[in-house]
Parts: sequence; structure tokens; C-alpha cells
Amino acid sequence: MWSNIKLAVFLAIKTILRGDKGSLILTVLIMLVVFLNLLFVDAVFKGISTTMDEGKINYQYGEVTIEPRPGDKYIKNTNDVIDAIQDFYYVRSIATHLRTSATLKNDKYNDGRDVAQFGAGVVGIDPEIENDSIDLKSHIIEGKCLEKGDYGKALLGADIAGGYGSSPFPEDLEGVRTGDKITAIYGNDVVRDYEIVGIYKTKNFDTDSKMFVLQDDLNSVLGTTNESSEIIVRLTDKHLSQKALDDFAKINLSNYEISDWNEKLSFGATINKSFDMIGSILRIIGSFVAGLVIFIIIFVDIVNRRKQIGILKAIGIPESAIMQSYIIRGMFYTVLGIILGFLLMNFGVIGFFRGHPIDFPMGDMVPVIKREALRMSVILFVVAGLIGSLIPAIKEVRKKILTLMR
Amino acid sequence: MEKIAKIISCKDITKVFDTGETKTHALRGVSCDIAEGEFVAIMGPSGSGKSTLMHVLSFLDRATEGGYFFRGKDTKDFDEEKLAFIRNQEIGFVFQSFNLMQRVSVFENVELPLLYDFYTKTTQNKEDKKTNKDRVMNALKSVSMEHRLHHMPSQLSGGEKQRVAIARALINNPKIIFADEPTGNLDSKSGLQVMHVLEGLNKQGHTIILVTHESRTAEHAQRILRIVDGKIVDDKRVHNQRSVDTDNILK
Ligand SMILES: Nc1ncnc2c1ncn2[C@@H]1O[C@H](COP(=O)(O)OP(=O)(O)OP(=O)(O)O)[C@@H](O)[C@H]1O
Ligand SMILES: [Mg+2]
Repeated sequence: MWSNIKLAVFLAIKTILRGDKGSLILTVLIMLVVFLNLLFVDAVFKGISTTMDEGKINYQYGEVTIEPRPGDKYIKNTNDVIDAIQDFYYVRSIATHLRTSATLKNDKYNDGRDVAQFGAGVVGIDPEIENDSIDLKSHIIEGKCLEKGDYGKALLGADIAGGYGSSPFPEDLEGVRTGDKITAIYGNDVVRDYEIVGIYKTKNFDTDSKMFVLQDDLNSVLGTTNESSEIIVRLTDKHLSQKALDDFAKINLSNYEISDWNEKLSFGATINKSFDMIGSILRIIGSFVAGLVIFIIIFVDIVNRRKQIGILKAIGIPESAIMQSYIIRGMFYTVLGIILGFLLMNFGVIGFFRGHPIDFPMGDMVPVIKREALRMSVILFVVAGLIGSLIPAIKEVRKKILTLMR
Repeated sequence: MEKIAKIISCKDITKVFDTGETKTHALRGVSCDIAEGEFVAIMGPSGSGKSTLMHVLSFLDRATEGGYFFRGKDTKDFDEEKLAFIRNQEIGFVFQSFNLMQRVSVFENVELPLLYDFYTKTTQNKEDKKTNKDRVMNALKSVSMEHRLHHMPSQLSGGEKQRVAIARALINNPKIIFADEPTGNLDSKSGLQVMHVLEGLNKQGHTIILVTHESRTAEHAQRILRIVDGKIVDDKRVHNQRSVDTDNILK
């Protein structure tokens, strides 16, 4: 069946090259746009979930998180754990957090008339090592970062402070600014006042709804010394997390719960599933449109060339060669659309968004092309183009010679 | 005369066009034998079935009923591939309306039937391409069109188009050439040039079947079949066969 492919190629090239250049360009342009659109929506979805994932890793969990076993309140010998893991070549930095929660109050006019409150997580940190792990320093939107010796001071998340743009929480402290004093009432009824040294916003809302204080400050509230609630381990590459889990399992850390970002991002995983679903639907619709475009182009072309097809058949060119020539044309438009669409996406659109990321509530989004999604789009597109050109080719070319030549 | 091989032999051929509402009996039992090397003209009034008969004999269409033996073989069981093979290798067509491929040069038009090799079922290789070129050039020379290789059909006169069509028809050195009113769209001088080419081909041994209205044109043939209302009513030899006065047409 494919033995006469060269003849088909010859016929296809003649018709493409000697055909109307305008409609050729228009056809390829339509295919390009349809494919680009497909890639773009997919890449935006992937970009959103990547941004969210990165936010969780960078500002919340790190690549690996070490926590107490269920039932234990704290990691007892924090320094031993650090000693045990810090020499692995892929461990970039380690931060220890002491965590608790408190009701924060902002007495707006200092007279008890209007007190805003917010139930928040409070994290005790060591500022000297924290910034290497959770980089809040580059996300300060007002004031400065917490520093060594800042007793009685706190760094506040923008979602708690209020008045710093959109937040997923219905309430906040209604406008706390640098220099303001707020009151924290801890679960054990200890009450402390803090002066706000700065406000930060990472766009990871779990982080932005916390208050950071000195670990020593929190130790005095909770009565702890060498304990911590979580140890955030940053790696040189997030793809080394499984290796880290394996290695950590070999040294004796069995008293602790160790998980990597993959396990922590279950929320991202569900949303990814929804995105994948929407992506698939859009892909199918897009491919259908592409198939339809090819069908119309090829069909109109064949109908306009009926007589020529009749002549070819009359002089003994086999039907299969003529059909193949139309399929080759359909593929030509499709593949050209795919290639140009991909290039424009990869170097044009993504390049543009790298320079100008979209400001999403969950972070700055740059579209990302997923290899799997790209492969699926290409396959579906090619199949659609194939069907779109095959149907009119079979339908028309098979007609009787005299009918075609009339 | 009986000893000469019959290239075409048909018996009681009928052709009915059934459009659903009406049935047109275009051929009502045509029987005839044509020997290899003959030059036969088919004449008759408009609508009598000349073209229909030619289409059936040249495998552009199938008869509704009747037997058709081509080079001694019953054509009843020939499949599409076989018919494409015959049309490509053993038959050449010349139509009243030229039927050249648009947007394809004169050279490529003539080359087209060569591009598919039915014997090896492959497209030809480089070596073949060379001989292709010679064959196309020879075919174009034989119709005096070798000076218009790269013209497009739209840039040619009617007579020139028809001569290119003839070159295409004879590129595979077919046994038989069918020509349906080949001079119908041409002025008398171009018409004579075309008839001159056909005469030459017949002299070289090609069987020629020519459909025409005009008795002057028909008299170039050796034999005239007269068809009326889908039936052959007369089959006679031409006693003083006309031939084109070459001095007259080559300026
Ligand atoms: N596809 C068709 N469908 C229906 N009827 C047809 C078809 N083709 C031909 N006919 C009819 O068959 C008859 C013979 O037609 P044909 O074309 O063979 O005539 P012809 O002798 O070639 O005429 P002309 O000299 O005008 O070319 C005519 O009555 C014509 O109307
Ligand atoms: Mg006719």
C-alpha cells in the first residue's frame, strides 16, 4: 500500500508548492494557533501547580521534613538529629522549628473598644540559620526580618496582618503595621506582647498565616530547651529526596517521622489530578477542532480538484497514491502547525512569561510545558489530522472516474 | 484479415444510466471487433452513445451488461488495480478538453504516467529518472512540443495543449490510443496537426480509436463505425483514406 509513497509525496509537494500561498499560510496559522492554545492552557495549569508546589517546598516543608512520631510532642534531641544528617553531600541547610499556636489580638485603638483577633500558628526560629532554609528575608514587604536578639519581637505573615492584598482567610488583624504591638495568648494561658518588626508575604498561605518569633522566646513560653517540632531539611536538588529518605532510614532516625515533599504535597496532587482532567478535555476538544480544520481544508481542496483527481485516475495513477498525497498534505499542515506552535510557545510565550510572571494568589506563575502533556497533545493532534484528511480523501478519491472528470 | 489479433472484442454491450428517476439507455447492444493496428473512427449524432462506448472500451466506465474481451482476456473480473495498470500501460487517452493537470509543467504532465512502476510496484529510482527524461523528451519531440518544457498548461494554446496531451498518452508506448473528439476544440489547422500526429502513431503500429462528428476527420481512419441511438448501424472500410498534407500544416 505504501510502495507508491514517493509518487504521493511528489503529488503532495506539487499541490502544496503550486497551490495558493495565502491559504497555505492561513491553514498552517490556524493549526499553529490551535496547538499553541492547547499547549498554553496546559502549561498554565502546570505552571500553577508547580508554583504551588515550589511555594510549599520553599516556605513550608523543605525537600525533607523530620517530625516527631504521632503521639510524641517534640523531637527530643534536635542537635543529635542535625549531627546525624548534616554531612550528607546533598544536604544544603537545616532549620529547626518550634511550633505552637496562639490567639493573636490587635487592640486597634489601645482602649479595648475594637480588638481584632486571629488564631495563628507561632513558629520559633533561629534567625541565624533560618534564612538559609526558609527564605523569608526576600519576602519582607514591610519592615525587616527577625534578627538575633530580637526578644519580644515578631515577624508577621501578611494574611494575619491584614491589608496586604488578597488572602484566603475571612478575617485578620485588620491592619497591623511595623512597630505595632500585638498580644499573643498561648494555649497554656501564657500571655505575651510582641512588637512587629516586619511583615512578609510568600504567597504560600500556610506560611503567610504564621507568626515567627525567636526560638528562645518560645522556649520560655513552652518550657522547652533542645526540643523542636519539625526539622526542615533543604537539599541541593529536590529529586534527591528519595535518596535522602533511604539514607536517613539507614542511620538510626526511626524515632521520627520523615517525609519528603512528594508526600507532603497531597493537596497539590489532587489539584493536579483536576488540572490533568481539564487538560485532557481541552486536548480532546482542541484536537477535534484541528481535525475539523484539516477536514475542511482537504475537503474543499479535493472538491475543487475533482477533475484533476479524475485525470490522475484516468491515466492509471492508483487511488492509493492519490489518497496518500492528500494525507501527506494534511500531515504537512498538522506537523508544521505543531512544530511552529511548539517553538512559539517554548521560545516566545514562555520566554515572555519568564520576564513577566503572572501574579497569582499562590505565587508568581510561569507556564511550564509538561513532557507528558506535550506528547499527548502531539499524538492526538497527529491522529486528528490523519482522520481529518483521510475521511475526505477516501470519500472523494474512490468516486468513479467519469463522475470526477465531469 | 481474420488472422490479425483482436485487441478489442465486445459482444452485446449495453449501458444504462440510472439516475433513480430516469433510465437512459446509452448503449443498446453493441458488438464489434477491432484488430491490433487498426485506425477506427466512431461517428454518430450527438447523444448517440459514442463517448459512452469509448469510456467502456477504455475502462473509464463499466458496461451494464455484455462481454468485453481486451487482448483476448475477459475483463469481467479485472479489479481496480488491474484496470489502473491497463489504463497506465496499455492505453493512452486524448480528450476533447485536453485534461492536462493544472499547476504542473508540460514536462511533468507528460512524465506523470511514468512515475508509478506497476511492475515493481515502486516509484522509480534515479536511473529510471534519467531514462524518464529521455522518454518525455522523445514524446514531446514527436508532437513538436519540446520547446515548451517548463510552460504551464495555462500558457499554451489549445492545439499545443492537445499535442502535450497526446505526448502524455503515448509516453508508456500504449497498444491503443483513444481519442474523443480530439479536434473538437481546435481550429482547423491545429486540428490537422493533431490528426497528423495520430496518423503517424498509427503508422508506427498503435491502434487508434477516434470519436468524431466530422466525416472529414473520420476519413483519416481506415474504418468507420456509425452509431445511432446506442447501436452500431454501419461498419465500413474507408476506401480512399485521407492523410494530412504535411506541406499545408507545417507552414
Ligand atoms: N452520466 C450520465 N448519466 C445519465 N445519462 C448519461 C450520462 N452520460 C451520458 N448519458 C446519456 O447517454 C447518452 C449517450 O451519451 P454520450 O455522451 O455517449 O453521447 P455522444 O454520442 O458522445 O454525444 P456527443 O456527440 O454530444 O458527445 C445521452 O443520451 C446522454 O444524455
Ligand atoms: Mg461525446
